[in-house]
Amino acid sequence: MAYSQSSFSKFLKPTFFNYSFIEILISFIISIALIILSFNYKKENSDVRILLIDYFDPFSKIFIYPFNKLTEIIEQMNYIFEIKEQNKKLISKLENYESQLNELYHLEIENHELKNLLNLKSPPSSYKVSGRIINDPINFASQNIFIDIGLDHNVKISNPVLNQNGLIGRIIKVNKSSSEVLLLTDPKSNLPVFSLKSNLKFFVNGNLDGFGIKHLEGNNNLINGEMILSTNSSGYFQEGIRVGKVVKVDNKTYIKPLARKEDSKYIKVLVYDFEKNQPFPQ
Amino acid sequence: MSLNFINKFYTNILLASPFISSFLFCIIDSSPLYFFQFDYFKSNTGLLVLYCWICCDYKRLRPIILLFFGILVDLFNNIFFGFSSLFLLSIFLIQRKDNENLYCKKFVFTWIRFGSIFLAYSLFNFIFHDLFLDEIKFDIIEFIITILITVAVFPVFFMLVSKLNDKIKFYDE
Repeated sequence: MAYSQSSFSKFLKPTFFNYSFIEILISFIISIALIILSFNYKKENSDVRILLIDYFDPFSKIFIYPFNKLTEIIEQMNYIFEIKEQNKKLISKLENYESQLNELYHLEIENHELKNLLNLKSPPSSYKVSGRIINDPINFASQNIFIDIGLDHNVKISNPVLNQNGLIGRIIKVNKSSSEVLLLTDPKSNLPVFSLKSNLKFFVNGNLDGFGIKHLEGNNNLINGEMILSTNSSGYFQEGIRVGKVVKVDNKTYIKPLARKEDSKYIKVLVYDFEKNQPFPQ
Repeated sequence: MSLNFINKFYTNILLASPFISSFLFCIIDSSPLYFFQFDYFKSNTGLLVLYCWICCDYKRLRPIILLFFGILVDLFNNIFFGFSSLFLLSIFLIQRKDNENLYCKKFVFTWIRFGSIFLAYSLFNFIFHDLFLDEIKFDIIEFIITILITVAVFPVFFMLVSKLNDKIKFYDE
């Protein structure tokens, strides 16, 4: 006698029941158990995960290698496109700067020509060369000293010589590696100066005691203690180098030099970079 | 001799292809794929291939094998073990009940069904994790991109699995 079977009874057929049913049931139970266990034992879940990931790592590396390479290639391509874009921008910037630079060159030439037209001179550029006094002949007839710097250091005639206190003289003779210095205190030396406060222009003349004042009417106008500085009117020196100080004793005025050769055996020579930059042609 | 060996090797590979392909794509899941360098998405290829095998012929993979692959999917994609296994076993039972449940002659319906089931799986996964894990924060953009891309690439995987299944069927016959 035939009778209809429900789907559940089909499922429980002895042939199926023994294996398939048990397998499905066990799989479901394990799945649910795993969810519960992973929820309740989070730390252990994490440990197991790390362990399994480590275990599968070699497989991952092998299978993922082509994908990683593909990603790298795509990234490299993107990078190349970015670089191309950047390159375009930089080229346009460079062109812009080049045109600006050309304009600047034109302006510089124009500036130079206009300066020549107006007969303007640039301020002298200079640098200092340090040296040493190598020979100091104590001679009443000549107070000149010799220093160990010369043509090798671009030293030229009339370059000023200073020590730490101020101006002591100027170069009058240049050799390869030595020079002769005429001291300001030498009677042969005449230096145009001006007073800083009273703004008087005059000459100081060397003597054995210090400086004498020349070409100044009314010495009394000088203020006691005021600074005396060099001017560039002689063409030898830069303007503003400290030379001496006004001293008034018993209505008598004289200039006391700030620097003496005895102050130090080390000196500095102010060398102009270019001949054309010297205040005046020699 | 060598041709015979190659044929035998090919046959073995073909018969083992459900396991090999499932394992391969589950392993590929372990690496996040970057999407236009802005965001990344989980590829879900393992889950896709397993679904396709169940859809094409549920007899190719045994429930215990599905349990194992489900654990593998969870290892790289989820926080709790057993979640994907449960999903795959449920799919297996649905398909076992009636072969037409997931698979239609018109592929569009198969695709739509996959889309609905995968969306349900993703949402359930999202809700489940959100409920039980306070410290977890989902990236909504990543979530949406993952769903969209997984659904979009389904036909490719389905075609691949279908071809393999046909070849196995042909061999069996």
